[in-house]
Amino acid sequence: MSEVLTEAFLVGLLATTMRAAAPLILAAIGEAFSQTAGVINVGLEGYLLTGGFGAYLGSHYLGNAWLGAGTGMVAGAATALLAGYVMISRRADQIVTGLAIWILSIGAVGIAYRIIFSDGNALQPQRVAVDAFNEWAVPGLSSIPWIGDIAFNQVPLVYLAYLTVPLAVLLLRSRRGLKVRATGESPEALESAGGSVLRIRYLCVVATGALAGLGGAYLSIGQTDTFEEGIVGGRGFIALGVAIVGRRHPVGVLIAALVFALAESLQLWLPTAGVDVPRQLLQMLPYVVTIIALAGIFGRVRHPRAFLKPFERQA
Amino acid sequence: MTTGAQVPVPPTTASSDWRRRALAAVSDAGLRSRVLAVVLALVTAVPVVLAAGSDPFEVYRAMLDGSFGSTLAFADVLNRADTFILLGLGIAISIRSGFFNVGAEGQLWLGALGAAVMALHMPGPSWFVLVAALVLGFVFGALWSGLVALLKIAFGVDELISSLMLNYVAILLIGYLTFGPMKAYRAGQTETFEDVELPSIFGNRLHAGFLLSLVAVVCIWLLLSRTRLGYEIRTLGASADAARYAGIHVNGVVMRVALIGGGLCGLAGANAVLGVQHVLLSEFSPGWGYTAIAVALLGGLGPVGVLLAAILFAALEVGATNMQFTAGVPASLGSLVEGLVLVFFLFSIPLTLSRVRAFLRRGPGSAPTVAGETD
Repeated sequence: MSEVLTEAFLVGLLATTMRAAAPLILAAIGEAFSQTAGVINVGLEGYLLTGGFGAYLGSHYLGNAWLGAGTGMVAGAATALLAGYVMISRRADQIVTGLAIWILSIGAVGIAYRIIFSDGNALQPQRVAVDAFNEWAVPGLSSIPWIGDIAFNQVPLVYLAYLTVPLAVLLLRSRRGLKVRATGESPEALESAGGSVLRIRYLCVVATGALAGLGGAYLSIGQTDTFEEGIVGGRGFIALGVAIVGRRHPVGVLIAALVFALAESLQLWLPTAGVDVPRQLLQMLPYVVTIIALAGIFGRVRHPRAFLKPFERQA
Repeated sequence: MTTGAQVPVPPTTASSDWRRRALAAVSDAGLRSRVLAVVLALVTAVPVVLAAGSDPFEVYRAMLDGSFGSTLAFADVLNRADTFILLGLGIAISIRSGFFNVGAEGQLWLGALGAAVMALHMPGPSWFVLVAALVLGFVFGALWSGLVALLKIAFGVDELISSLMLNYVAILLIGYLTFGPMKAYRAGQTETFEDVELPSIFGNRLHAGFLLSLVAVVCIWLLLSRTRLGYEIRTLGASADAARYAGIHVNGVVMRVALIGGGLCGLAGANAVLGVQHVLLSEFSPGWGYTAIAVALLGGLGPVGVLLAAILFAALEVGATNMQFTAGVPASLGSLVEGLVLVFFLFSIPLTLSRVRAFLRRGPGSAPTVAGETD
C-alpha cells in the first residue's frame, strides 16, 4: 500500500474530495435548518436539478457564470417554494410531496432542456458550452505546499460552500436560530411568544432551495461548462442523509459531507494508484456508511418533536 | 380492547402518527379530486406544449393514439402497467401499515437480478426455469425490503432514508455485476435469455405478466379485506398505539408486510426482464419504483385504484414516447404530467382533511382508537 500514498495521489484525492463535498454542503446545510424547523425536503434532488439547469440557462442567455449562479439559486428557490406551499400551507405529507416535486422537476427540466436545445430534433438535444467558473487561486494561501493545492485552488463556488458553514453556525447561535429550533420543537410555544411558525418554515425551505440551487449551479457550470439531465445523480438524497447523520448541525454536515465526498473521490483516484477495486463497490460506500451511521453506531439521531408534522394555527 | 384506566397511555409518536393520518387521507380522497388532478395536470402542460411550437390538441391526440389507438400500442401500455401494478401494490400495502417504504426501486432491481440469475444459470425445462426465476425475483425483492424492516426493528433506523440508500446500493450492485462477473460480450449487460420468457397472450406483444399482475390485485384485495393480517395492517396503519392495544405484534406485522411488499416489487422486476427485456441491463429501470409511489397514492392505496392508476400512468408514458416520434414534443412531457398529477392531487387532499383535523384538534391525551371503532 505504501507506494499508493504518494504526494500526487494524496493531494489529488483530497482536492477532489474538497470539490465533491461542495454541492453536498450547499444542499445539506439549508436542509439541516429546514429539518430543525420540522420540515424534510425529500425534493432536494429536484432543487439541485432545477438549480443546475437554471444556472446553465442563465449563463447561456446572460453570458456570465456569476449571473448563471444567481438564476440557479432563483430556480432552486422557486422549486422549493412550490414544495413549501404544498407541504406547509396545504399540509400535505412531506415525503410524498418531496417525491412529487422530484418527479415534476425531472419532467420540467427534461422537457425545457430538450425544447430549448433541441435544434429541430427534440430527441437529441445539442450540448452547448456556456460561460463557466474557472479555478481561482487564493493569493498567498494557494502557494502553501500541499494545502494550497488541496484547498485554495478551486472554483469560487467551492469557497462559497465552505463559507456557509461558519455563517450557519453563527445563525444557529443567534436569536433567529433559536426561533428555528423552537419551530421544530414546540411550534405552539413559538406562536404564543408572537413568532410565526409558517414564516420560519417558509424561510427555511426557500433558503434550502436557494442553497441547493447554488449546489446545482456548481454541478453544471462549476465543474463543467455544460448540462446533462443526469448531473445530480442522487446527490440530493445523499444530502438528506448528510443532514441527518450530521445531526442537523453545520459542523456535523461539513464532516459528513467530507466523508461522503472522500468515498466518491476514492473511486476516481484508486485506479490511478493501480488499486483495482470495482468502481461500483466503492460508490456504494457513502450509502452504506449512511445506513450504518443511522443504525446508531455514532449514537441515535433524535428528531425534533414536530418533525414531519404540519402546523395549523389554533383558531 | 382497552381495559380502561389501568392501562397507561404512552406518549404518541407525533410525527409518525401524523404521517399515518395524512396518508389515510390519501386513500379517503374521492374520485373527483383524482380526476380533477389529472385534468388540471393536462391543462397546465398546455403552455409547455405551445412553447415547444406544437398544437396541444394534436399532441394529446398523438398521446392518446400512441397509447389506446392500436392493439399494439395498448399491449405496450399493459406491459408497462403490469410493472406499475405490482410495484404499486407492494408500495400500497407497506404504506397502509405505516411502513413508509420508498425502496421499491431497489427491490425492483433486486427482483430483476434474481430472475436473471435463475434464467441464466438454472438448468431444466424452460417453464420450470421461468417459474423459478419469478420466485427468486420475489425472494430477492422480499429480502431487500426485509433488510429495511430489520434495520428499523433492530436499530430504529428510519425506513425512509435506509430504503432510499439501499436503492442506490442495489443499482450499483447490478452495475457491478453487469460490468463484472455477469458481463456478456458487451459491458453493462448480461447474456440474453430469450428462451426463458413470459408467454405472450392474445397472440401479440402482451405477455402473461399482465395476468400475473391481475392475480396479484385479487390476492392483495383478499389479503386486505379477508385475512387477519389484513386487519392487522389496517389497524397498524390507523395508529401504532391502537395496534398495540389490540394486542397486535407490531414488529411482526411490519416484517411480514415488508416481505410481501418487497416481494411484489421484486416480482415486478422479474416480470419486466422476463416479459419485455430478456436481458439484465445496467440501466434496467429509469425510476419506475419512484413513479409507482405516485401510482400507489393516486390509486388510494387500494388494489383496484392501483390497477387503474397504473394503467393511466403507463398510458401517459407509452403515449408520450410514441407521441415524441409523431408530434415531436419530447417524451419528458409524460414525466411532467405525472409530476403535475401528483402535485395537484396533493393540493386537493387537505380539502378532505377536515375530519382528520377535527381529530387532531381534540389534542393529545384523547384515548387511542381502534380502527373502525370511532374516528
